[in-house]
Amino acid sequence: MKKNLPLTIAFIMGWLGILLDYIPHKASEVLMTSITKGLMVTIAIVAFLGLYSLLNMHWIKIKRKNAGWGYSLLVFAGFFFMLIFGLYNQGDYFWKAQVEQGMVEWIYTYIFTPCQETMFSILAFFIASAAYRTFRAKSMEAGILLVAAVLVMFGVVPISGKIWSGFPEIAQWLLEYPNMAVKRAIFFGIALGVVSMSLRIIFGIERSYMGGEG
Amino acid sequence: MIQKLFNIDRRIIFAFMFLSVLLPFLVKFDLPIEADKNVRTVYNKIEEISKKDSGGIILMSFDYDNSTKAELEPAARAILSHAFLKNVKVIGMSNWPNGVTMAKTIMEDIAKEYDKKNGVDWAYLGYKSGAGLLMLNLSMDFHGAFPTDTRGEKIDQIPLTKNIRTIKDIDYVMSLSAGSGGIEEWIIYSQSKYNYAFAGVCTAVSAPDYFPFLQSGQMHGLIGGLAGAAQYETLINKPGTAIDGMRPQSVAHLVLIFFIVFGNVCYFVNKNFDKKKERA
Amino acid sequence: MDANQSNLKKDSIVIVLFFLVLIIINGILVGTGKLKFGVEGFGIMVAAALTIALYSFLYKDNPIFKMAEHFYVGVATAYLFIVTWYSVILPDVILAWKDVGGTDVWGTISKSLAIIIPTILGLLVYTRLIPRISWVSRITFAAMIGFGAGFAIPNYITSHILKQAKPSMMALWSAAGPEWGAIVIFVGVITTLVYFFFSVEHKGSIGFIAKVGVWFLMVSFGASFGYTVMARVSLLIGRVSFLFGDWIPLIN
Repeated sequence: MKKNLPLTIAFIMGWLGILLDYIPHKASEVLMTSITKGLMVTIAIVAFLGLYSLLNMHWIKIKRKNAGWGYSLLVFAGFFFMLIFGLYNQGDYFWKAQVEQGMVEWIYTYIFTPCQETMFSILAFFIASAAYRTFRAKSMEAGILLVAAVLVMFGVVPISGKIWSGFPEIAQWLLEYPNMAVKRAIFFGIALGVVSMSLRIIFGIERSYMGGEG
Repeated sequence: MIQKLFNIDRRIIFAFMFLSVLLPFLVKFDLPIEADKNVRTVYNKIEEISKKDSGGIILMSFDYDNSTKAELEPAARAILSHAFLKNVKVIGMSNWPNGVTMAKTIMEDIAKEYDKKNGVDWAYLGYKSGAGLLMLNLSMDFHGAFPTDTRGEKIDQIPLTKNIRTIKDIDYVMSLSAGSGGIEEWIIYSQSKYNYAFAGVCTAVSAPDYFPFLQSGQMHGLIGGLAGAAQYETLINKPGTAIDGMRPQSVAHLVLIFFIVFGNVCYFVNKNFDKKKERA
Repeated sequence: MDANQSNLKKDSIVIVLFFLVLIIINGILVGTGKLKFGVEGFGIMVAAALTIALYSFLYKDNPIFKMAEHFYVGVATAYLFIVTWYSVILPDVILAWKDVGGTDVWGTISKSLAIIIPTILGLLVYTRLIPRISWVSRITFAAMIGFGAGFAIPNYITSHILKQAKPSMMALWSAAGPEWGAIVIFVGVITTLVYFFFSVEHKGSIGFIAKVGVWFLMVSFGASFGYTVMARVSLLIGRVSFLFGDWIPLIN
């Protein structure tokens, strides 16, 4: 029951997913719409489990006073700071549609946005460091990679067009022909991989989504 | 000496990188920006749609968040400006929850600039979970996927969206995408089935991956990265942050190319030196 | 204990110095009229402080960076909660009951089930937190993953195989002569596929074809690297233009 029931459900839902796509009847379309809409709601409810896991991890750190537990307090501080204003909703509270302007937007614009943008912009520095220290033409293949990278890096910026109009054209050609051919071959592989993995899930061969024994 | 250069403190490289971005902002110089054919295709399609009697409707899916805002927001603003200037109506939505407030702000800002009315000229439907499921759902049943907009108004009563039943009632669909839950999912779960005009606006990281879709016709046009956004700003003749960003972008690329070439020169010189030492 | 106390003292000094420097800089900016002190001005100061705190990681890992990072994680978690609540749960689970009812019995039943079943499926996942009945959560995962697997099959076959195969088979020769673009695409696709076909040993002619495939792969990875550099630099440009445009107005 603990194993067979989920496997049976996966089998039925899997076949529904395949067959509903091929049946052109109105009833099939209605069923497909209902199932997709329902799963969208389910996914949203399940998303809160991830939030719980993160907060629980930091709570345990604080309870056990593990190294860096003070920083975990800041996680909760940030969480409640945003949550309180979000649920207060400028006086309308959380049972009405979200009010457009307000403190949530301020926190989003001046705390959340700069943090997220900055975290990802740090990568620019690391890519420069990595390019200098490790990007070496140690073999012919590495040399081809290096030449292609330099040609594209140079060709995509407007300054290359100022030096010679051929540079942007070379970069564009590399993207539209050899690069495109490789990506297409990779797409064929991805599609075959997705089909094979999906069939394994539907037929119960692949069971990793069920987690451990329990 | 070569060894010292090889093992240079990475913080010095970071400093060079920072200066290569900052200094071009302070020193102005002109750069020729010419739109490539994929960017021009998007521009031409909006021009074509604008000639329709009803003005045409675009669906813009903001499938990105603040982590790629610097790359995609200039293109979003340029496309919205173009659409509103030509009286094309725009419906916005999001597949990424962290980008909802950002997308709403962009639409409100540009709509205000062109004096466009919410619900009549534009609408923002917000976020729903599910990515591929959402795309499939709204392609078949638009009102079912988004019963209300972000103000809580029912979309089967809003003038702009009340007559839209399926994705085929929309003239042009665009995904502004930073990765999964964006362009590829739109093509897999919606465009390949319903065969409508679809364009992608993506980060430069993922742009090379979408060229097969362009060649097969599944994607109608592609605006890649900040450079693509600068090309679009040039086409609509509205210089913005993308065109401004091309100076630091160009200089930073030149600096990086120098690092790569210099690193390799040092490597080969060192290799030759070691070989000669061994022979001696 | 002494080492801990000394570290704590060092961290505290760094934090105090950081805030002091920011107060001085912001004081100068407000005093000289370059930054207006209001809701927006204060927001810009906070944003700049967080940006610099996170960038301090480039020098080395430090308490300022950790503080900013942890606070951001908390805010991001709450934001995701809020968006999911107002975008999905409130309209599609709670307020959706307003539309249920009326004289149509079948309509009422189907609308009710359309709310109840997904909600129950979603709530079943939380049985994972109770070890005795954690297996019940597998039902939800099985439904979601099973359906996802099923509906991916026809869609991937259409978009990634059928619609990609046809444009690969373009004419390699026309009246005007060889179509070099089509030849490059054809050779590139075939050689790359051969390279990834590991059921046959890459020796002899197969080995040569696979080698050509590797060359194509290297060109593609080089192109991807070039574009990746552009992407990362663009993100840095965004931050620099904020710091020296909105905060310290050096850039117009």
